Amino acid sequence: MFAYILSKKNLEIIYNYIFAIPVFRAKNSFRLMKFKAFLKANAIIPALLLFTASSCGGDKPKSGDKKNNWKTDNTVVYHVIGDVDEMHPTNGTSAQRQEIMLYTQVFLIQTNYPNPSEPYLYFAKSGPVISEDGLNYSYELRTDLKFDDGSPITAEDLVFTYKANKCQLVNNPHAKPYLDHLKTIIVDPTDKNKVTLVMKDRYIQNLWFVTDYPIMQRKFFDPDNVLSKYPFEQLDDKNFIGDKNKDLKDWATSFNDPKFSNNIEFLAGAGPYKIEKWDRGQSITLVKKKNHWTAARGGLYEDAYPDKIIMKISKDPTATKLEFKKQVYDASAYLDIKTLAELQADDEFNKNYSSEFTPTYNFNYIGMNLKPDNRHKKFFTDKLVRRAMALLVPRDDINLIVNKNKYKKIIGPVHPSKPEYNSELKLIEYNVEEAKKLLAQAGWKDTDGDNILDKVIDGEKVQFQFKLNYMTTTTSWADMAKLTAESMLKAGVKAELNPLEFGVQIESCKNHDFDMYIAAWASASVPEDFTQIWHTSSWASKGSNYVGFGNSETDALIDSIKYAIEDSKRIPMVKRLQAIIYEEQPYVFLYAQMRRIAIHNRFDNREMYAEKPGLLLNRLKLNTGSAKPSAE
Amino acid sequence: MLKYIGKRILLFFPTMIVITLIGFVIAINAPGDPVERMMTSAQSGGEIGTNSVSQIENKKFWQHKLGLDLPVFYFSLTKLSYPDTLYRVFDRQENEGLSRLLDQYGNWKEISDYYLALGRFQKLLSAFKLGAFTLSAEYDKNVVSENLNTIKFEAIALRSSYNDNIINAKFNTINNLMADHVFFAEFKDELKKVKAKYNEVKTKSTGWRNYIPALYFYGNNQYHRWLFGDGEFSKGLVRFDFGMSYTTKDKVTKKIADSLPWSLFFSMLSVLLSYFISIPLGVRAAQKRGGRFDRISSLLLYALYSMPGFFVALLLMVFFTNPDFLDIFPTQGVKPAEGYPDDASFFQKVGISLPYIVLPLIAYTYHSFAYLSRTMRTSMLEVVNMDYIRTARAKGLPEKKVIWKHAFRNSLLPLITLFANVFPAAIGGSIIIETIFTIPGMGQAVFASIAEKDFPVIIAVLTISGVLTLIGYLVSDILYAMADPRIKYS
Repeated sequence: MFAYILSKKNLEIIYNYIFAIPVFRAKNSFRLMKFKAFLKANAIIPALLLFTASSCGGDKPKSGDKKNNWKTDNTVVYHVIGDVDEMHPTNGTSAQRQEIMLYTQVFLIQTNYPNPSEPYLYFAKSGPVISEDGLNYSYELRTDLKFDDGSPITAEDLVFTYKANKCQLVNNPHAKPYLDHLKTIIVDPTDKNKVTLVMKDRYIQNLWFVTDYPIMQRKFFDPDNVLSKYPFEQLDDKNFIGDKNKDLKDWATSFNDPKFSNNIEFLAGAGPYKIEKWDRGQSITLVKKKNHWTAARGGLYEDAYPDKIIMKISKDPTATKLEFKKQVYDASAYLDIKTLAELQADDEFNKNYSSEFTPTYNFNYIGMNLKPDNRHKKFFTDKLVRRAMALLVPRDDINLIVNKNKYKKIIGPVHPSKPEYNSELKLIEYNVEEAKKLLAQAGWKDTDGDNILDKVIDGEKVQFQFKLNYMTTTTSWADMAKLTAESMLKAGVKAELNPLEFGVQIESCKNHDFDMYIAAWASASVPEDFTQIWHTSSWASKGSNYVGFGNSETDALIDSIKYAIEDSKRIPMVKRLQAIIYEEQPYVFLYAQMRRIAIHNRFDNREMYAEKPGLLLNRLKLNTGSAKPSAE
Repeated sequence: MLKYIGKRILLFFPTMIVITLIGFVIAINAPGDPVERMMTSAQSGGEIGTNSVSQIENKKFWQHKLGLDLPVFYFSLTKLSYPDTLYRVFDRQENEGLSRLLDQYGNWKEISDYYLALGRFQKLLSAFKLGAFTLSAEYDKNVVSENLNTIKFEAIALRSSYNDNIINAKFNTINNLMADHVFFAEFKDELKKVKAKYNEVKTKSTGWRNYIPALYFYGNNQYHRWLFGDGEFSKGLVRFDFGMSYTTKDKVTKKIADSLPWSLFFSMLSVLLSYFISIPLGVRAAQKRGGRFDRISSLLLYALYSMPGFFVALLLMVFFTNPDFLDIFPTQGVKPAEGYPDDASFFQKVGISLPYIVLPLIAYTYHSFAYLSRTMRTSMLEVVNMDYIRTARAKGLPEKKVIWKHAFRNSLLPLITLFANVFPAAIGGSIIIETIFTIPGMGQAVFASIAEKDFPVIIAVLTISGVLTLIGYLVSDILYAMADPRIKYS
């Protein structure tokens, strides 16, 4: 037994699980080999521990020895990394909540995963028909959709949904801005199954904002029909004070009640699944509704192949990896890069699971302060310096060490898979010598021989030494920052590592209180409005243009893009904007992130998408011949 | 004794007020804004249009609703130069800027006038009708927009600036932009007023007011709402209501009640186990001082002690839950993903959960072995050298009786002291072990609350920990008296 424990293979396993330090692996392979040798020589303590336990437990066959060991139940155990905050149909902000909504709720339209440029008509039967001025979006509604009590979903429920979300007293501050462009909703007086969403302006996201609002049953959430007394326009009026209307206040208090957030008896929705069990911090179980209307219809969201979906939480990558090896999980879209890369190296895993790194629209970047006020020095006001920074970031090394070479290098904020991507712009490759030249051109020289560049700015000699902020949420940010700082030092630029808690980093960014920071932005397949990140108005008002990018030309482009509904007009403008951003280099664009998906082969329909959440669990169909591994 | 306990319980109340207040102030002043966090949607991956007017109004609305725009406590001891209304400036940077101006010039009236003038200037900037203006004049709309945004940014930055050089630099930037672009002519008068107000701040300085203390009282404050309720989200601590969690929108007490049982279960079981194992180990090591058992147990226990919790937890997981190695325990959780069978009895549930509990329990417990057994050993060594033990031995009592009847009781006092910390540790949980093994305990709940700026939960946990610490020390004192009758509290 003891010899077995100390066998070379087992020690390798332990090393791989616990001791592998990615930065060491690439940079210091020699040191790492010595470390492994040290580990082998000093394995007595863990081995003793093991001896004690294993003498009681005995060995079990390795999963590789087992055949035909797939589960046969029609339940998908889905790996997630966090719990849901609340399951209220309007309140709550967690990503997991949004994912569950896809299975438990019905929407007017929803993302059409196989073809994300077209909406999936869910409650909508046809439409939208867009008026010539681009302000009216008319839909015809289906009549065969029902809530769980058997009553049909109607236009009244749709109107109630938008009103409830708009109401100032409803506890959903995160969701209200998406309704800012909606002026009113009109139900056709001659045909109750036709509605028109009237928008305030021609905005490129006028079609897609409705995907965020699940349709709520008016009768269930507002039995006294209080909201019918308040037109949408009134709720939208910023001078309207909801608190002064007792009936509205009482309704909002009852609507915000935690029972609609946490008590599974009150978690109502018209989707094919309902929440059966919620063990806080452990798992959420969705169960397929019996005799549901979706059974007769079928479709991307109406299909309900698994009888149960269990969303089981695991935050620790080692634990997750072990559970995948044990086939506890059937699917995940949240594996970390290292975990999936290591699992893919295991033949047994590949026999049991289909797995892929699939594209996402999210990207990582390094932001620089282009318009520092007097709290910060003018390091990055010159675009030559910013270009030099781009040349100094070792993206290949970071990608190899931190991202296992899985992420895709990018040149700008638009994902390469989008039609508006500007493919004429070339990647900026790592080049220290070129960076040194650019820095010298920009006036940065090492005049005092301390290996740090310096320059006289506004009459004061300034060392090229600044703080590089990064978040403490995961270790990959720290690894990226370390590798970047190490590389910059080669050109005489000293980036001091400054780890910050997530909220503190966001606050410092909003207040423009930084020199350089590493972060990421999330995006989607829908046409993008660049105002939030790139317009000067978002800088002036402490918005998300943290770096202070922008000039009259880019503002003009952004203003035009967001109202250009036709692709033929929009795409050239987006390409031009990318070219300007590329030229100005306000960010060092790093990578487009990849989603890490694994699905057990005992299910068919193992479709993986670029759009969040990356897969649809309701579509996973139990492979009836799943008693043995498939040939795939 | 009873009188002593009564006194101690009475002392609980002032101590509790201090504890709750300290906890409250720390939590409220931690970086990050809970309303900002509430408004951050996960689906946007960061945040959304925080610059929109409706978003700013929305934020103010919720700050007011949650009482975050109120002063923190019933009174504040400050400088005479400071007004009693400074808390109303909710933006931390602006509040800090105004405070620094007050520290320099000490004249709130002038500073307030300057701040208000700046507000009017900003309002004018916001009201600037870009479209109408640029249609009637021959200027590029985008040039106007870009420069307008620069002026807006400088005006915002002025609100939190306090350094004279910086303020003047910002005024100069705005002046230069206005001089370069005639379309900003309508702002000139308002800017002049702002500058005049700033000059008044400098010329009418009353710095002496900074040297005189002032006391302000606030009837309606955040602490008061927390104690007595806000009429909407909380009935107040006096009614054992800690308010509403900002993340789950449920009662904080419910959130704690959901998480606490698992943490209590593991910490109490771990305490029992560690005391049960460490005491005999310590006693035996003391009995055989310097012997083989003493040396080997010391080595092993210190080796265990030196290993960090996360490392041991991962080691246990990799060794004992690994299909490539030994797969004898479940990897994580406290029960199967499918839950318990519907008809399972309590004991069946315990049976199902037992394999899930073993590894986390070891990870919870091993750390205490070295500390407790070494403490027991040292204490026992002191006692066994006492005269009365020598007497007991001289009387011919068997060694077992000497140790367990005469020496043991007197060597327990240091362990009782350690016992006082068991209660607060139970509510704190262990973040790392709970995360690794996915145990839905207090450690995870507290960590998530800190990350989410869920102040009501953080404050509640701090308060309950404080109460439990007090109870722990009281229990220790009572146990002292029970262990050693010579200890009198009267």
